[in-house]
Amino acid sequence: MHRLPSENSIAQYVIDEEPYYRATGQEVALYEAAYAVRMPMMLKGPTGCGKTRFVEYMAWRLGKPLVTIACHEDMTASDLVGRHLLDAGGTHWSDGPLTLAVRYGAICYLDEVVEARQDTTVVIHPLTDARRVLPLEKKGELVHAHPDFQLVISYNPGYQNIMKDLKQSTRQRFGALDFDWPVREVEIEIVAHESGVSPQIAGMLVSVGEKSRNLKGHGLEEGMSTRMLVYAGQLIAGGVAPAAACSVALVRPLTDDADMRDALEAAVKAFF
Amino acid sequence: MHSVAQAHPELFSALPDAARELVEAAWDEASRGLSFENQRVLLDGAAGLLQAGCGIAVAVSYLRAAPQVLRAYGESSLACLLGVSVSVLRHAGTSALDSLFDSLPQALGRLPAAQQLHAYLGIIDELSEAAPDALIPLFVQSGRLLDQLALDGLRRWALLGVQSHGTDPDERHAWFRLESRDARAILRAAGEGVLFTAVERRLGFYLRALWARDTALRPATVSGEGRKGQRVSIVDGVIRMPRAFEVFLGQDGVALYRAAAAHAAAHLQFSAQRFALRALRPIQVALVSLIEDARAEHLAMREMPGLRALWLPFHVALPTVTFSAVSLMQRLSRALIDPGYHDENAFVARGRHMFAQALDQLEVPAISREIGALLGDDFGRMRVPFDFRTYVIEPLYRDDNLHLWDMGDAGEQRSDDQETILQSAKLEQQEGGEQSSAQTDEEQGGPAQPDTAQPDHVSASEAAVIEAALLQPYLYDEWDYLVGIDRPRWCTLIEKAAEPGDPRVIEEVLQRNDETVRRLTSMIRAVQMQRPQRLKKQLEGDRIDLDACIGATIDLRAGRVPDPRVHQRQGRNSRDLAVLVLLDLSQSTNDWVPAAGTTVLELAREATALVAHAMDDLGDNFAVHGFDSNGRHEIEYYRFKDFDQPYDELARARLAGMKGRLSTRMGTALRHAGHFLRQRRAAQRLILLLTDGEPHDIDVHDRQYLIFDTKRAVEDQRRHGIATFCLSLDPAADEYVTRIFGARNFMVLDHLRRLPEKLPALYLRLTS
Ligand SMILES: Nc1ncnc2c1ncn2[C@@H]1O[C@H](COP(=O)(O)OP(=O)(O)O)[C@@H](O)[C@H]1O
Ligand SMILES: [Mg+2]
Repeated sequence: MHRLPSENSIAQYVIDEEPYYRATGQEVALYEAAYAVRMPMMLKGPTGCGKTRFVEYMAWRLGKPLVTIACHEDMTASDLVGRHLLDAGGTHWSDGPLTLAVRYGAICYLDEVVEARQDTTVVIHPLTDARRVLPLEKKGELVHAHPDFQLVISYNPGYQNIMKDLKQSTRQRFGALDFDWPVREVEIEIVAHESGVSPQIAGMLVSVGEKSRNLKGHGLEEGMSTRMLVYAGQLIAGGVAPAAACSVALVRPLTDDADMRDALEAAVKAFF
Repeated sequence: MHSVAQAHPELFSALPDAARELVEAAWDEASRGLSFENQRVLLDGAAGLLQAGCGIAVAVSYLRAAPQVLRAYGESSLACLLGVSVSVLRHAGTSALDSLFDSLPQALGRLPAAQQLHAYLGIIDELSEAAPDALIPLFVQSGRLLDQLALDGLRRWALLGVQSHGTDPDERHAWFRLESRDARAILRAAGEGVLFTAVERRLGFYLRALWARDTALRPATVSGEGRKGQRVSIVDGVIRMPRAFEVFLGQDGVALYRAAAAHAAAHLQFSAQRFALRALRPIQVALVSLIEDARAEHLAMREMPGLRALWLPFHVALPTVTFSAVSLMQRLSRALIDPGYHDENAFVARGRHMFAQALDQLEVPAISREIGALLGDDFGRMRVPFDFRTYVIEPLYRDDNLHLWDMGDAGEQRSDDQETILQSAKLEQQEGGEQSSAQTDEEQGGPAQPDTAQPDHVSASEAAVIEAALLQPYLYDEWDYLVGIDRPRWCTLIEKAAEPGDPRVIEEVLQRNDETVRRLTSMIRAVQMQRPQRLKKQLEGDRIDLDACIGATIDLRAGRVPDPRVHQRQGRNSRDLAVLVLLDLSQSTNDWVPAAGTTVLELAREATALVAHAMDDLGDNFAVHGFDSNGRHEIEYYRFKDFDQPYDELARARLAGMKGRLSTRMGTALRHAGHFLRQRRAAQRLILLLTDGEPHDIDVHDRQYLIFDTKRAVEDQRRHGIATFCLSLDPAADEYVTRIFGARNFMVLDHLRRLPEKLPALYLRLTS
C-alpha cells in the first residue's frame, strides 16, 4: 500500500521519461479534451491491452504526477483516503494516495476498480460530480480538489462475474474510452518494441494471439493479451526456443483444460 | 407377487389371448424379486417395444433379459437399453433385436458397472445406424469380444470393420464373425488407435482458433461409404471425419486427425468455388483435385507456415517405386508440398513447374482446373492406365474432394468413364447429404420442430382450462419488434405443480459424479477462503482489531467518546445473492445425445443437481424453476425449489420428476422469473438460464420475433438490477445469444456431455 512519508513526495509521482505508447486511434486527443474539462474517465478493455501504459503516457504528456492504485478485495476506504497514525508524541494524520492526488493535483488511476468492494469505492463519488471534494470523515476535513486533479479508473467488461460488475450509479459518473487489442500492424510494432524480437517473430506471436482470441467465449474466457505476447517475445529474445516460450508465456497461463491446451499448442505450431 | 394383469392392466388388456399366456409364463420368472414399482417399469418397457412393433416373441425375450439389467444396474440403465432397442429395431429389424436380448446375459457378465453397460449399448446404437447387418454377428461374438477388448477398443474395432468393408456384406460378415484375418489382426491391435470422439473436442478448438469460424466437425456417416479406405468428406460445409483412422505403426493418430482437420478447413476457406465436371476425363478430375489440394494448402501455409510440418510427414512417396498412376500422383502431391523432395520424372517436374509459375495467382481457383487439365493430357500421352473407380486419394489425411465438383449439368454428353465418375460421385453426395441432415438434427438437439411439438390440442387446452381455474394465471406483455410496442397482457403463464419423482435419482447423480462433486467441494472451499474471513470492528472477538484500537486511542486522546467495537473474530462473510436457475423444459430436451448416451434433459437434470448441491453447500439462497410453452395462452411454469424453501427431499423429488415437452417461449418465462427475484432483497440477483435452443413457439413463425422479445425481457430485468446469464447448449447459438443476452452474459457449451461439470463451475466463477 502506498503510505507516504511526506507530503512533498507528490514530486516522486512525476514521470520524467516518455513512456513508450503506440496510439491505436483517437484516444490521445480524446483524453486531452477530457482532461481539459477534468472529466473523470473510465478506460474499458481486457487486461493487458495497454490501459495502464496509456495513462502513464498521458500523465507524462500533460506533465502531471500520476498516482496509481491497484484495487483489490481487501482494500478499505482508509487505504484510499488515509488514516490517523500513532507516534511518540500523539497522533498524526497521514494522507492516503487518493487524498494526496486530490490535494496536490495529480492524476489518480484506480486500476481494475471492480476488484475493490463497492462500499470502498463510494468514497470517490463526491469527487466525480461538480463539487470535486473529498470528505475525510475521520479527520473532519473536506478537501477541495486541486484544479489539476483528475480521476481515472480502469475496468474489464469481459470479466464474467455478476459480483464484480460496476454499479450503474458509479459508471454514469465517467466518460469512457474503449480499449481493445490493437490492430495487427500496431500490435506487431508494440510486441517488437517491447520485447526486442524481430518484426517477423513479433508477427508470428501476434498471429498466435489472434488465433487464441477466436476462442473467446468458446472454451476460453479471454484470449492472449498483448502483455502476454510481449512476455513470450522477451523469452524468445532471451534465447528460449519459440515453441517453448509460447508454451510458458501464452498457453499454460491461459487455461488448464487439457483439450484446450492441446489445441493452442497446435495453433502455436501452425506458426513456429 | 403381482400378475401382469395387476401390474400393468393396460398392457395386459391390449395383448391378444395367445400372447397373454406367453407373457404370463415369462413373467413368473421375470418379476421375481422386483418391487411393484420396478415391475411397472419393466412392463412399461415391454409395452413400448410392442408398440414400436417388436412382436410378442421379442417381447418375451426382453422379459427374460431385462430384469437383470434392472436389478444389477438400475432404472436408468433399463431406459438406456430401451432407447437402444428401439434404434436396433428400427434399423436392423426384429431378429437383430431378439439376438440382442438373447446375447445380453453373456455381455452383462462382462460389464461390471452401469457406465460400461451404457458404453456397450452406445456402440450398438452407433452400429445399428451405420451397419445394421453387422449387429447379429456382433451379438453372437459379444462374449468373446468383450473378453479381449476394452470398450473403446471394441468400438474402434467395430467401426474399422464397417469402414473398411463398406459395401461388401460378405466381407463385413466375415469381419464381425471374426472369420477374416484382418479382423483378428486388428482385434489384437485395436487397443492402440485413436477414435474421433477422443479428439473431437480439441479439434473443434483447433479449427476455431485457426480459422475463426464455426466449423462443424462430425463423425462420418458410415453407410454412405462406398470404397475401401475411408477418407474425410465435406458435405454442405460439414467436415465428416472417419470414426477411427486405421493408424499404422509409428504414426501419431492425433496428428493424423489434426492434419485432416486442417486440410479440410483449408478447403472450406479457399475452395469455395466448384468446378464444372463437364468435358473432363477421369484422370483430369483426379489431377484437378490434386492441384486444388495443393492450392488450398499453400494458401493456408502462407498465413500459417507451420502447417507444412503438420502435413509433410504423411507424404512418403518416393521416386523409386513402380510406375503407376497412383504412385505418380502421390509423388506429384509430395513434390508440391515438399521443397526438399527430388524427383526426376518429367510428369512430376512439369506439374511442379506449372504450379510454381502459378504461385503469384494462387487465389484464383481456375488455375487448379487449368493445370490439372493440362497434366491430364500429359498423362494420357504416357499411356499409364488409370481406374477412377478404385482410385483413393493419398495421403491419408486428405479428403475425398467430392465437394469440389459441381454435379449440376448432368444433361451434357459424356463418355462412359465420366458417367462412372458422375454416378459414383452422385451416389455418395446424395447419401452423404441425406444422412448429414438427419444426423445433424439429431446431434445438435436443435430447436423443437413444430410438428413434433404439436400436442393433442383438445385435451391439452382443456386441461389448461381446468388448471387455469385452479391456479391464478399471470398475464405478461410481449414485445413486438415489428411494430415497436409491447403487446399488452399478451401471454398467459400458468404455474403448474411440479410432479415429484424419485429423489434417489438425484442422490445417484451425486454418487455417479463423485469426482466432480469432490472437485466442486474444493472449489467451494476455495471460494469461501477467498472471502475476507476476518470480521472487523466487533464488540466481542478472539483478537484485537488494531485499526479500531488506534481509532479508539485517537478518540480518547482527542477527548472524544471512543467506539467500543475494537475486536475482530473469524467468521464467514455471507454471500448476499439470490439466484434463480431457470430450465428450458421444451420437447427438444428429450433428444438423445449419442456421445453422452443419454438425453439433453437428463444432462440438464444432472447439471442442476450438481449446481444445486453446490449452492446449498455454499449457503446461497437459490430457486430452481422450469418452463415450457404451448402457444401464447399456455406458458407452463414449474417451481421445483423456491427461495427460502430448504433443498430437501421434496425439492429433489421434484427435480427428479421434471419432464421435457412442448415449446420455448423464453421471454415470458424470464419475466416471471424476474417477478420472483424482484421480491428478493439481495445485493446481487441473477437468473441463470439453461437452454438448448433459441426461443420458439408453435404460434410464432417469424424467427426474429421471440428473439427480440427475449432480448427485451432480459433488458427489463437488467433495469431492475437483475442479471441474466444464459448457458446455451445449441452450437449454433452464437448468432442470436449475443444479441439477446449481450456479449459477456452467455456461454455456449462446446460439448454437451460436459454440462454436468460445467454448470456448477460456471456458477462458481460467476459469483465469486
Ligand atoms: N498501445 C500500446 N503501446 C505500448 N505498449 C503497449 C500498448 N498496448 C499494450 N502494450 C504493452 O502491453 C503491456 C500491458 O499493458 P498494460 O497497460 O499493463 O495493460 P492493462 O493496463 O490494460 O492491463 C504493456 O506493458 C506494454 O508492454
Ligand atoms: Mg482435399
